[in-house]
Amino acid sequence: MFLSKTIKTVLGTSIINDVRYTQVCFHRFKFIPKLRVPEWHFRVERRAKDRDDNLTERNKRFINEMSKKDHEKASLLKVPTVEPKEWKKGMIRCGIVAKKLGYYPLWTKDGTRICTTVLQIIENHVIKYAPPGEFNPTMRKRLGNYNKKGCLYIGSGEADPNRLTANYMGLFKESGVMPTQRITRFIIHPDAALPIGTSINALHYRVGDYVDVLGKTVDQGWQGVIKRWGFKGGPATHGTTKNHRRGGSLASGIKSRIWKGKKMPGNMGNRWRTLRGLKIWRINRKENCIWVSGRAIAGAPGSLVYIYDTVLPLRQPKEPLHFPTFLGDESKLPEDIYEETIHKFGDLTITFEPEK
Amino acid sequence: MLRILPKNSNYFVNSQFLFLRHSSSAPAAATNEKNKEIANYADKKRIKKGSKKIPNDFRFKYQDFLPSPTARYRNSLLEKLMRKDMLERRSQVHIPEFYVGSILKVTISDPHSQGKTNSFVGICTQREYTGLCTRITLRNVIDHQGIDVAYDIYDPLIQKIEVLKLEKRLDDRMLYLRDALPEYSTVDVNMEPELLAEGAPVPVNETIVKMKPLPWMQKWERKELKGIENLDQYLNLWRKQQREKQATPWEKYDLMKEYRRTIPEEQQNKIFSEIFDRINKINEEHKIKAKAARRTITKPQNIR
Repeated sequence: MFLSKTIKTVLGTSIINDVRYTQVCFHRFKFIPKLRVPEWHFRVERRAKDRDDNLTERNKRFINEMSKKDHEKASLLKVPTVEPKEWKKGMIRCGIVAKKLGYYPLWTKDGTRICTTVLQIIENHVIKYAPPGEFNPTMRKRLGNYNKKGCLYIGSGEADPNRLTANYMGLFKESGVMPTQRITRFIIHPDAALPIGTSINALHYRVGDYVDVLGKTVDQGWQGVIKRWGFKGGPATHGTTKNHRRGGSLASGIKSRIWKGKKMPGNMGNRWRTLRGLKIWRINRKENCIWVSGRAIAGAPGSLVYIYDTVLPLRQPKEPLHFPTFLGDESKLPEDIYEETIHKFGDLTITFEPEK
Repeated sequence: MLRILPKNSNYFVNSQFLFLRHSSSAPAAATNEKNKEIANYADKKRIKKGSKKIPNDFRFKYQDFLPSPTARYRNSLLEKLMRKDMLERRSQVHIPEFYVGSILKVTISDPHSQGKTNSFVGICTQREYTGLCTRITLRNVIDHQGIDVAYDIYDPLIQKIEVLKLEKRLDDRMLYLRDALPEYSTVDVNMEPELLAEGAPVPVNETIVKMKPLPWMQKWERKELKGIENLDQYLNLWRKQQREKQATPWEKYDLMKEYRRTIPEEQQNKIFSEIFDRINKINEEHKIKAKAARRTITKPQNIR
């Protein structure tokens, strides 16, 4: 009885004085990356217990008809035309969400092989545009002053609307676009804004330009020091016991404590990582695919990645980019667009003529 | 490009395994009349779906078109793109039917000696990967020195791939030739091609190899190879015991494992029905080209 009384009093005081009574001293802080949903965003999929899977066939038919109507509505969406503008250095364009497919070898005309990965660009639709006054990110300190920049909200990937929550579907209501798998924000220059409902293609980028790709690395779970940091471990023989895969000593006696950032066992993978300065070698217009150099793009094949123009100063484009997107006639271009140095598979075999 | 393999290249997909399962979806023995009807119906449906009759040896002849069976690396779009590029490359260079154990001659244009070609003759010891990435290794002994050369089949530097002797061996991977006596991996460089009649079955060469004494590159005794004769001669007691301990004789009865390392018949038919017309056309073109090349051979004028 006495205990319960005390707890009640403590809780009561805590609300008034705003004091927390959690014990911190022996609390072990672990970094476990979670899916942190931002304020403007809602839970995407309904929980399994909330879903009504026991629908009758008649009801299912009804839902399918309604969703068909929505699709028709979305297809009839009128998108206002945009006129191309002049691109200048430092004007940030919109990015693209893509699907990582896998490894693909290409050969140059010299005969050297290039390792590339294929990125399939799934459906990207503009949902919303927040002009510089409205856009107000929560992490302002770290990102800098964004009063001069706008933000594009882009929905990407197909989703079954029967599985989505009502709150999440509400985000698409104004635009009239069918609800998608994912919504992303791209911070842009206000001149690069696109009207609601426009779709972005693979032709947003050109062959020969450089690109940054952001993705989430494969989750390896809790790993030891050898796999996570590449430590050497202990000797296998000579009387060692229980010291084969250990990290050794943590610190020396001078400081008499562990330095911050000491490499230790822990959760490996499942982090956002970018690869910068990847060249575009080939573009397929029909299948919306981009061939990008490098095999080490973050994420397993089939996962979603984000593509941006490069930040690297020495790999900036020499000719002005398509701004805000590619607005020319697609039908004039060939189906496969190659970089100049790359050997097409349909061409004759490579032969070297002797020097004179 | 020329690529000489490192000594400890342990990673390879066993590509010959992919094609064993073909009759997986064949209806079970129809005891009742009802079952027979169902089976007949299924056969009719299959013929309708496939529409083209694909010969059974297609899965051996064109192994490269079948994707890797691991599910997490598979993607239908990527496979489709690869198939298209492979056919385009095949229209330029004739890539013949060959197996592990058959003798090949590969000629490539060499960037280091310009205006000339570089050719290599050897036994095909392994086939790695699938699709555009397929890679073969040839082995030969030249001037008492064993040499392994790896070629990407779809490399645009390759000018010609010839099969000098079409045959199979007892094993799917022949990397143990590196530790065998050199006489088993020597091939005459100026060998003339041995021709087989069209439609004849591929002969199996049943030669059994003698190994050199230890040390070996890998523990061959654990791999259940049929093509080696004198394995027990060099093994000590501990190694023999280990072989018995680590053997997994039940694995050949594991249906699930076999399912995971093969591609089902329906998917194979879907793939081959896509390429069927195109590849036949390409083969005919290459035949015409080869005939024309034979006719144009003329005697050099200097000979008297």
